[in-house]
Amino acid sequence: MHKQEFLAALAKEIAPEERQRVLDYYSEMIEDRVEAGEDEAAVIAGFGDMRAIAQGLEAARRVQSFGTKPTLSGGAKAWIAAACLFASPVALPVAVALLAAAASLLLALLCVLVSFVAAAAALGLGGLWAVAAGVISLDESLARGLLELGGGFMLMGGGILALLLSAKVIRGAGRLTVRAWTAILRKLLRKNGGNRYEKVA
Amino acid sequence: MDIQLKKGLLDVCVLAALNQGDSYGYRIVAEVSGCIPVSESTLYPILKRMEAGGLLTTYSSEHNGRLRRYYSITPAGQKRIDVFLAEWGSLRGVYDYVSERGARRA
Repeated sequence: MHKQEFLAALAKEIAPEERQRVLDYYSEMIEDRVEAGEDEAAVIAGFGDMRAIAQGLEAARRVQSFGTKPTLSGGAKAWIAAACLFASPVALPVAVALLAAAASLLLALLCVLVSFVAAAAALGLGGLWAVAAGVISLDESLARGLLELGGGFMLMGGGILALLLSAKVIRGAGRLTVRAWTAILRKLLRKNGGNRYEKVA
Repeated sequence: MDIQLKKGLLDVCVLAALNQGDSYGYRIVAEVSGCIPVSESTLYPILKRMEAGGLLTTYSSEHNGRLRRYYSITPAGQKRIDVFLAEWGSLRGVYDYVSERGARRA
């Protein structure tokens, strides 16, 4: 087999993006070895099986491209930019709506928590009022005063209990919210800036 | 020789050959083959990978009416040789230990 035949046959086996460089490389190798006094056909025969050469080069190319970020061609970038532009009338309102929904959920959670605290405070204050009323009533009627005092203490106990429970619920909800937002932000940052694999040097 | 070990050694042998001066494919194969057997098909991906990794650069120069691609080592390539020498310097002690104690007893 002669050089041109070899190169033409090799060209068919090599990926288009790599073809010219590989052909230049082998062409130069053949010419250098012939210049050094070797027989052209023997040099080509020494390269071995054409398919094996192509497969070896393809395997090396795949290993090399494995760690690298895929790059977009200019055309692909233009298409993506155009798609973003045309999608923006829909995408922007959807994004705003999603943000509003998330904010309203947070607000609703806050309202529920505030209502717990308010209910607990109301119980405590009601109890305090009943105790005060019971002390005043003791002069008029012992039974009525004791009844109001007992009811007042029960209400105050309930209020304190509700306040402690509310504090626990608020702490738990706060932790959950912080964890959820941290996880979301981490995912977003990893998606945008992360490069899982280092470029193969 | 283990394939991965040979691959790593070939990289450094090619860089060492280039450290003596810019060179081209045929001459690199001839020089490195004196140390480790290497074929043209094996050398191509090595050169390409090292160029992509910034360990060497290439340029074309005319030779006998045709263009020949020359390879030139970069500071990063020289640093790679330094790292190799440092690593293998520490391995020499391990080699000596194993060769002293690992020889088969008659």
